[in-house]
Amino acid sequence: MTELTDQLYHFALLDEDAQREIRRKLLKAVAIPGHLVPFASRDMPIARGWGTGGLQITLSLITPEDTLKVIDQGDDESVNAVNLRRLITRTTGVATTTDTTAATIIQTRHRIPEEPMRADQILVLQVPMADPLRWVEPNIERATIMHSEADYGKMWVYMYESIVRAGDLRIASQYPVIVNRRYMMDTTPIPRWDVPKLHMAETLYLFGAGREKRIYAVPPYTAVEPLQFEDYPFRTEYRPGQRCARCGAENTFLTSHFVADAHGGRWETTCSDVSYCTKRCAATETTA
Amino acid sequence: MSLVAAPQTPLERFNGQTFRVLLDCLARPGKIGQLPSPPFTSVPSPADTTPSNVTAIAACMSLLDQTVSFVHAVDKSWLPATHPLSRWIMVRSNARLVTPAMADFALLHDFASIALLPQLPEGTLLYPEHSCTVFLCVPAIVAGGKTLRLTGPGIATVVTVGLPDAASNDLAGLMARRGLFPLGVDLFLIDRQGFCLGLPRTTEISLC
Amino acid sequence: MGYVAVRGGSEAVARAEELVDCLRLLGGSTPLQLPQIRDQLRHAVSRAMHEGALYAPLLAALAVKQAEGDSIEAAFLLRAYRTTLPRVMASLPVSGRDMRCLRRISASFKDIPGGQILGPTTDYLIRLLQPALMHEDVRSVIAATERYQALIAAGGQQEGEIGRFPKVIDYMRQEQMIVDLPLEPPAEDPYDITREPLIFPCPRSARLQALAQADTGSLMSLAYSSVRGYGDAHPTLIELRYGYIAVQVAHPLTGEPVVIGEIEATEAEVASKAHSVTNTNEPPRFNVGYGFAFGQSELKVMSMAILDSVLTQARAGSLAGESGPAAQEEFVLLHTDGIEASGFVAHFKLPHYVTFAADLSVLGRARDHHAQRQTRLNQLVDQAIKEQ
Repeated sequence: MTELTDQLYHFALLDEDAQREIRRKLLKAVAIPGHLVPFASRDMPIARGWGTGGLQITLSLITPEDTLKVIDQGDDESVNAVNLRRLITRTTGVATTTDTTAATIIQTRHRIPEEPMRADQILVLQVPMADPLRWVEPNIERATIMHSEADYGKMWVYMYESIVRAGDLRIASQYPVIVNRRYMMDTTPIPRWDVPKLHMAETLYLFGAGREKRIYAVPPYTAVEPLQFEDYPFRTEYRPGQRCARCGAENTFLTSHFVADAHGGRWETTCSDVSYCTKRCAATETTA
Repeated sequence: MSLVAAPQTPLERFNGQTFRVLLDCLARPGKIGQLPSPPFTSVPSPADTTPSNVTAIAACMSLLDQTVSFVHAVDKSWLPATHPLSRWIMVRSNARLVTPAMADFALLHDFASIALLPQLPEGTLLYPEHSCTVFLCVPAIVAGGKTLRLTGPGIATVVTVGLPDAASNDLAGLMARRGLFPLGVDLFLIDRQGFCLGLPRTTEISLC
Repeated sequence: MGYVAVRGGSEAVARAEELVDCLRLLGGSTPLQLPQIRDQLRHAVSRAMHEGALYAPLLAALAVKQAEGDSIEAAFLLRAYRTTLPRVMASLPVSGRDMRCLRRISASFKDIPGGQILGPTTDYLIRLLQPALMHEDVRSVIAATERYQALIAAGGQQEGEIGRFPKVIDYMRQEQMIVDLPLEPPAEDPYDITREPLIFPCPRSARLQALAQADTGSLMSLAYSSVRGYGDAHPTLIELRYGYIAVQVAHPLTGEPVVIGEIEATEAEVASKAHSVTNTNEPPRFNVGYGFAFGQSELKVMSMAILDSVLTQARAGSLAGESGPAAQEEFVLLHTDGIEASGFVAHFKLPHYVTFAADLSVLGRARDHHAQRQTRLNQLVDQAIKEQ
């Protein structure tokens, strides 16, 4: 009886038909890189906007042999990452890891891990907005027509105006890119730092927007070019001389946080990819 | 933390593992994947002279349910709903057998039936995903062989694959209706050993 | 300390949930029983059901209890449960004609066939708090039963089919006052937005389903904007009825209709103020909007009917007056789902420090640009002064 009540749900929560629908859409997304494929997006036991799209993709992909890593802001211990991991492991029983190199599936929000990912891994990105044209054309019906005609003039004007006003391409995260020289794609709020990692990568990238009910993909070895002008090229957040206060890395994406100490505390910038940072610290200790 | 989900049935397990192979093959054209053995026995043959490729049929069925439609063919002709294999597939998948121009999936039981490819939907500019996914049964696929030369997304530079025993007509059929991106059909070639080659619409195919 | 930088997120999440559970009972009052919620918080239960899109009064009562009365949270709990249920079969179409009405009114005609039945309503209530409710006990329950019997006796029992009335809209359709049923190609099955993505333009069945599970407040707000001046000002209520409807399915073997239960529901039709010009070959008629919801949910069904009417007119290009957001189908359907809207608004509580760091980097560069421009301007001014 306990066994019955404990195993109320289907493997990976979603029923077989729901998983199948997402699988069909994922195959089309891979075949049409950067194109937004509508999917039903079932109601999930976590709130819309909290990773239901990525979660549905992960649950449709996952097999009992997988090793899963879930991060939010680059951190495995972020409250939402913890919560999603808890749901996935409770409905699948798969092994989990914090080590990027040990995972077969990584579900992430807002970051691509610093360590290069391999061909035998899949990165699943949680997406809040899905359509890069939303800034210039909020009506989906019209935006779909623009995509179908590769009519991206409005977006170029938007980019141009942001340079004139702010002296920079004013889009911090969710930077628009052109995939496979055809579709304009929203990179989800990864920082610009991570955008080059999408270009001609070894790994398959799958994007899921649950509330917007769209799936899209960037296959490996696919051209992903950020929107830029000849005289205003795309730049990442890199600042010369930047350094992680914890592991000393000079080429990682950093975030600042407050550290309390006897003198009242100070602000510190450290790697946002916490697992990578910890790994570097451990390596230094071993050699020391 | 206790598990709240039931273990997978053998069919669910097959469907899950198969999907990962299909996804990997479609994302990396030219990479030859190995499909798991299907949990089906005594599958009717498409024709007396053509034994059924059970792995290919099961792989196609792993994506079928009552919301999608399919067609299947052998020896360059579409099989009717009354065919024993049509019934076998429909009963187990609940998928509808329709006319080729409306089919979400097509199962071609022999290489020669690739000639029917132009009859299948290629999607529209608004909905390029409303296109057919084709499962094509071939005698053998050889990784790194010298029949096809592939380039495009998913391929670092160039990759070649061998399709021994393929007639030149069949190869011509395989290369038809390409270069229409974002429109086009997406193909999976599956041989008798369960080896799988994905050819999405983005792949440019030429002969070695 | 930040809520991400802190190690041990798993434990924090578990303890946060425990705290919520404790807080509900810490006040020391008697725990609520589900029948109490179902019977005495009728509207909260109905709202959880129609917004959660699942008819299950006792489960809805549980959701209301677990959500501590938060209507959106209760609907969310029900929806997350519904999504795990297998879809065994579709019921046969039900019609409001077959409703056993507890209440039915029409604002379009003074006398209607079957008569106006006010039934249970607070419409004409003088909104004064009733101190007597503070001290209710089991004697109040007995008294209520007696009063109810007396009310029935006073009303007079009728023979035959109790509570069945002809629909006002049938009479209006017969008299060609209103448009015929929409000439949409009859789909084999109605569109199901929980199984298929909502793509625009969408069929009317998808619109009605989306509206039926939308947040009541959001529908009311948009319907209000429309009748206040951004759309079809002042439609007329053809009929509103509340009562019980039997749900039938086709027997899987014989195909005969079988009643599987009864649901409590509210239904409304409104006629547009402006007559339709959809079909120029026929004389003008009024347009119609339809609303339906589980439970006694009058505000919801009227808001729904108004929006349905406005959207039909907007699509036909026959909307009179100024059109606002309420006349844009995509805008209405994508922004009124309480579960989706609340989830996304609440997601801003999630850590965003990666995107914020990226924002700061852009802000830094914009400041540099501003400073450079300022310096260059100062130089030009200095130069100009020197040259004078």
